[in-house]
Amino acid sequence: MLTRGHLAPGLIASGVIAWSFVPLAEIAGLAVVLHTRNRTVSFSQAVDLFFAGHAPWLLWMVAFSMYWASVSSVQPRVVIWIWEFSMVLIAIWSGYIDFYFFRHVTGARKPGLLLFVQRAVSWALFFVIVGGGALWPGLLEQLRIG
Amino acid sequence: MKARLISGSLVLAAIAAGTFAEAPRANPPLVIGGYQVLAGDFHVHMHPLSWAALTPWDTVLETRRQRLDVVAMAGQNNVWTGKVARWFSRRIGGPTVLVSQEVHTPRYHMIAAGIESTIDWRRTAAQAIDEIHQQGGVAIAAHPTIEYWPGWDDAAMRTLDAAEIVHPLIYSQPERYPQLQEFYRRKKLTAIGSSDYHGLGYPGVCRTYVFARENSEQGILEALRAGRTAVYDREGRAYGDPELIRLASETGSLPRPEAPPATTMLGLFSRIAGALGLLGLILVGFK
Repeated sequence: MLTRGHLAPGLIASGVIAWSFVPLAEIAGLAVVLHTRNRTVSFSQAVDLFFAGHAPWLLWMVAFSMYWASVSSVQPRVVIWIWEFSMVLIAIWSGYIDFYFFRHVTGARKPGLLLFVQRAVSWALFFVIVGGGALWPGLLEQLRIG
Repeated sequence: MKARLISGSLVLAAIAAGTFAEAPRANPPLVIGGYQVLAGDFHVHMHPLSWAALTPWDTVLETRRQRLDVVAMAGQNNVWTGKVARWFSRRIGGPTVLVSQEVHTPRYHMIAAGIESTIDWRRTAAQAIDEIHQQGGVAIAAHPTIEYWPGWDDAAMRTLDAAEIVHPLIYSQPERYPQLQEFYRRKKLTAIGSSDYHGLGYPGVCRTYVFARENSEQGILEALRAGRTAVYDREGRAYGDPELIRLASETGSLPRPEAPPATTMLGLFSRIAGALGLLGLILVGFK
């Protein structure tokens, strides 16, 4: 929808395959956190529960796609900033949901640590695959080093 | 259950409508002054590794859909995604693909168009340009706004071939336009219009008209080296070879309409039904 403004079967099929690493990276992060922990549910049930907490991201993505499908792709910088800011809010909301997921599923006294490890694993995989070509020079550029 | 069925049906209906939402558009050849005029986009990214949404093969299909004749498929600090795109495009008779790299460094960004091996991003701009030339490619300064100027020292400017003068940022951040213009006027550079496409919108939103002797990788690179391009901004300002711009102006054939196909009723239905269906699936799916 971002590209054509409507649902195109070819792009959907290809996109599903090309981006299937995202849920896999999330599950990898979850496996790292949960494999040594006592938990109240099986791993597959934990995966189901974990992805149930993704509603904020999915709703954001539908809104994002609808917006960009309806306007010119060249928008003022402030529009980009608004979307970036909304993404930060969604990340916080999603973190809040997952914090309680880890608390209830593992009974951990420090669910924040589990959340951090899960995010570190899955987001690191995401960033390397999606933007790995220029991740390091891009970081140096942002930090004004080099 | 009923809500889930309705939502799923909406998504399926949206996909069905999306299948027939567009008719293919013709791309008639254009000849001016004895040259083939090729519409090009010399800054297009693909998934993975380059912060882009579409795979190399989908990007090729999108560039063809936007009636581009030539496209520099530029991986960020890699060329293998561009090679995949070239392989695919050759098989389907798509646009001419120049395997390219955005040499993405902290000091400058540069499109190395028409290369085969990855260039180390730790090189200075002058060193990178030398390597591009050794590989038979063309060096294009990518969005050379003021913060990148320290990276474009005298040594680099002596051998630089081309610079982006029309880029989406001149519309999203108009205060940047004079910076691109000032850079472009530093010396005689080939004018380039590029979309810096990452998957939002469509490739070719800013484009370059290349006056080539033949539609081949070598023919296009030769035209770029010789400076035979014309680039237009939305206000109709033209950059490039003055004689070719004059010829194009006399025939009234450039710039060609670039806008993507207007949204059809089927397309609009697909968008709205798709969004409603997805919202429904998300909301009832988590109950």
